[in-house]
Amino acid sequence: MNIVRRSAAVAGLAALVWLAASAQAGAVGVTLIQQSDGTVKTYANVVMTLSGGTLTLRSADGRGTLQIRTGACSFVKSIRYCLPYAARLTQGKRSHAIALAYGSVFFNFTNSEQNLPHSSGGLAPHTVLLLLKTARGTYVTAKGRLDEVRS
Amino acid sequence: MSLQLLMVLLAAVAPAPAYHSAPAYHPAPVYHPAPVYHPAPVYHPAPGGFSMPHDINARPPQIRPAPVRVAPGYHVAPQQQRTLAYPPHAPYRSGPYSGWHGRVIPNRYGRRNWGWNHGIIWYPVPYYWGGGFWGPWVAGVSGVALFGSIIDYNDQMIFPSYQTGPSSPGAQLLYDYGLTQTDCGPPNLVVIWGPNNSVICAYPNDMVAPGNYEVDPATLTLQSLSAQ
Repeated sequence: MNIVRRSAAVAGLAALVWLAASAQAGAVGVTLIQQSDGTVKTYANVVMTLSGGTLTLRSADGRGTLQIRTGACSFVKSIRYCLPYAARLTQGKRSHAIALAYGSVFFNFTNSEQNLPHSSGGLAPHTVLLLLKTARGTYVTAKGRLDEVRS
Repeated sequence: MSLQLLMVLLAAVAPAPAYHSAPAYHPAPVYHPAPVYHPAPVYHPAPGGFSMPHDINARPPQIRPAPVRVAPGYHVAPQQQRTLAYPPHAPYRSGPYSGWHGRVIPNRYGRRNWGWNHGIIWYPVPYYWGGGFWGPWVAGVSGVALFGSIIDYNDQMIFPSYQTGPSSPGAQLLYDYGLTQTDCGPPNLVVIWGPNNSVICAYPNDMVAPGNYEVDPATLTLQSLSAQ
């Protein structure tokens, strides 16, 4: 169990490093989805929008949309930090609730790069970083510039 | 004779032959190889949007009492399972208490409504212990450090306590009052009841005496249970 947890943590860390290297200011979003069996799929050119407390990730082909509801938002310096508590995956015309276990969402709404809390890494301006685990053990990590923000 | 003399004179006044310096050797030009441009990786997105086959129709996580050992007849206090898009307004029911009439201990930083949160209202979310006030912990998920518990013998209810997460609103509260969290259970501690039946304990100090307190999320202030 510990080995599984450790390997998942290593995979998550590797994903974070990869995301940090690949996502640049102005770039569109990148999303990694790691199934509980370890397989990882990468999605580039993901459109990321924030409306109220709902973060929406739309795949490049436009056929998949993942909506994540966040709340309990607080600030760590200039980084807004929220907790995801509900998610819905829409594929074509079908929509499914995705049960979440836990996660964190970081927003940088400022015009300068900000340090992530308890990390040496930074978050580019107007960028979101999402890390979550579903109830079925799927890890979703996403990072990219917010294409649209609505209050 | 005169012609010879003339030639000698001409030779004397003629300019010295020009000595050409040795040809300068210009080093061969250094050819810098053309930079190698690594093309950006091309990502081929999987067709059909996002693939999450294992998560379709999955049930929401059940908040388990583990790692709290529940004595027979006792049960763990329930946590919020639905969305509340508003904050708890003090005084609110938390733990076994509902009436909070005691003294309000002002926050030493004089925090006004939501001033601690850049003026944005904080509200609790489901699944997370204390609605996320004390950190991003989901009650019952392994890996979260249990910090003792409070037992309500009248209602046979157990209120587990967990370690406060760094950078959480709860951590800010503890900092503002100069409190240090400790395991719940021993007597004469500061017992702070937060949103959604959450509770933490801390050592008393000059500002906060032992007893039960409720936290007002809007101002990060503590109010004691009774005037005693």
